[in-house]
Amino acid sequence: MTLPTLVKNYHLVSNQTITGDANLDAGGPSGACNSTRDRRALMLALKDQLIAAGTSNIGPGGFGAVTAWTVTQSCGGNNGGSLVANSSDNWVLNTDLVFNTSGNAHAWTVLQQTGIAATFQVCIDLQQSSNSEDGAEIEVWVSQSAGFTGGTTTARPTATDQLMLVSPALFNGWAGANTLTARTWKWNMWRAEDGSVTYICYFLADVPLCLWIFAKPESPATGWSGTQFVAAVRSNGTSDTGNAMTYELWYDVPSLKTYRADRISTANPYNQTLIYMTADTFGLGPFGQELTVANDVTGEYAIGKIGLASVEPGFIGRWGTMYDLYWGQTVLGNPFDTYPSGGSKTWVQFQDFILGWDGSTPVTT
Amino acid sequence: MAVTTTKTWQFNLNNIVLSDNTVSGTNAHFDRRSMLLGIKNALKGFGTQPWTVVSSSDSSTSGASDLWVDEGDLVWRDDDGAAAFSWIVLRQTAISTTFDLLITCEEDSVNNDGSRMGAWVAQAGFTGGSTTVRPTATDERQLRDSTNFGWWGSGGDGGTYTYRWHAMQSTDGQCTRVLTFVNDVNTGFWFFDKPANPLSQWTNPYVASIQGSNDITTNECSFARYYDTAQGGSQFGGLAIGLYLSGEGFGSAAVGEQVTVPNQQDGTFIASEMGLCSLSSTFTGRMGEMFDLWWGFSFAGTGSYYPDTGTKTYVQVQDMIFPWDGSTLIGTK
Repeated sequence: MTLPTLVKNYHLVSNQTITGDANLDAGGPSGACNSTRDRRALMLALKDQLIAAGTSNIGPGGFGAVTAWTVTQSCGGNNGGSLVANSSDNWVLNTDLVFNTSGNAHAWTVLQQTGIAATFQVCIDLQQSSNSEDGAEIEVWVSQSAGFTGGTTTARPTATDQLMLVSPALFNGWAGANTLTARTWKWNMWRAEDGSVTYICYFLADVPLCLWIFAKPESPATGWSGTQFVAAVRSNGTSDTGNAMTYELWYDVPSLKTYRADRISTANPYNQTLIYMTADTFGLGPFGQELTVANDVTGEYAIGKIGLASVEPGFIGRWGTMYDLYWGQTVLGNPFDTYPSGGSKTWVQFQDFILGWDGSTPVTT
Repeated sequence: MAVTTTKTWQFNLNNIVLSDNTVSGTNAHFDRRSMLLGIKNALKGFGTQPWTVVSSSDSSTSGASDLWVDEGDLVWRDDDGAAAFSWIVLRQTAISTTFDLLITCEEDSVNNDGSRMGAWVAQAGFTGGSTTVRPTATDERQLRDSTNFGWWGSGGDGGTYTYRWHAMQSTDGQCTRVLTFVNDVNTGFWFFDKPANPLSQWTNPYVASIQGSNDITTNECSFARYYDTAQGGSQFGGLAIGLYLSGEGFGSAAVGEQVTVPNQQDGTFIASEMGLCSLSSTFTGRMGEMFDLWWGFSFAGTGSYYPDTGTKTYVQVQDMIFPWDGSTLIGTK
């Protein structure tokens, strides 16, 4: 089918590499968890890129400076020192990213993106469930407007409207299995010029292990009161082979989340309001799974818009669509394909998702 | 989502056929003849771009005119034999120059009470035909045969029912829909459409269907009928193909099946665009869309009107949303 056009300008940083290194960095408090150097390096690189200046390089045009994320507070070694918690960015070196169990000294950071809302914040907490978890676990929380306050070197800051995206308690890792195996990562980050959309995906040996989304919805339903956003840090379990960019993980189950004050209850301790990614569907499933070949007539593969729907009590309904994120056919994207066929590579399919691309050849291993 | 029509529409709604199981020497109730006759007259009676009758048979005569004048002209036969029977060919040039619909009054055994009929569409035009042989076309595509029960709702059923039927057609003639009801159940759905945004390689594209069930409790405008199975008939490259009417879904089912209340924040209903998808050999893919027909929420059901201001610009019939003329849909006597 005819390719879509990007609605927004994006600063896309593609094909970035973190070379596998199973060594453990020296430093950190006694008793801190192990984490491979490459795993710390990946987290540090993602943080650095989120806050980096940049100019859009894909989109409808008129490229300008991207609205970067900012660090409002953090806890880290601040260039190799002892852990300190304050309003600075204390994640400078790998060794500043100290993983540890709850109540013990460990690192965290709070990032703010005004392109989603004035004080839309994400707290990344390097907290693990045990000291044997090898940096494979983190917690990620979102505050839509209240903002995170009160962090120390042993406890992350909290927010009155905090929403949990990922946690050891959800059995949902962020960077593969709980081992100290060296891993070479390939990562990509899309930041909308206006700050309203951030997508991150990273690969391990051709497998997209995790997809991060912080985005305002396109065409939101008028009844969506409060801050309109969807967010996720979603992997497919804690293994090195779990594919995180599939219909199974986003269409079959609701993996996007948003915050609704009326959903806070003891039965919902993480304040989650879950949202499905919808797709054009018939028969037994979405078009991308049902259509297992290219269109017999045109020879083209199908691309479909991603919608948002929820069946959460109090938030039942259809809520909008995703900006510049599409479904593809599952017969492609393993691990990637580019569009159009002429070689300009303005779109890329990673597994079942299609995103804007910068013309380079994707590298996933 | 809000919906707006692409086309303008003309309506012939809320028609009633009172129960009458008089059989008059053939195997069809008077009321079933009466409904089919009424639908035929509605199709050729639209004010703008109506269907025309190419040829017909009333079982005693056949020729290039409309011989279906009253119910007695619609004569069913047992198609295991070679008896005289009635048929008619209707043409809609807005779909393609010689897009024809052939309806034959046949059933596969005696005493089926007119519950079955044959139906074909073709774009090359039906030719031939006599009082004992139906016309044929080189590219005919069968929609129903005389073994398919229930064009009106229930097969082999000698009972009497009061029928309601509704016909609508876009003023450009490209889309025609017919709905039949028994006891508020949407027992039949006919459509003959030129699709929106068809693939350019799909020469003279069309999608057509005449669906009914072997009972009077199954609603035809349903996800089960058209979304789960490929009931839209068409042709490509000389081969018969089936088309699914796709819609927005998640978790392997339609949004309209899984969202069971109006939007809980603003109370709105949604309507999902209807696409055309095929898994037919040599025609696999997404092929186009339907004009002015949408999937709704199952929980809303037949007789829900949109918008909620009382204008009744759209009506929901089971799971589908149609343009409407502001009247109240009546599905029973």
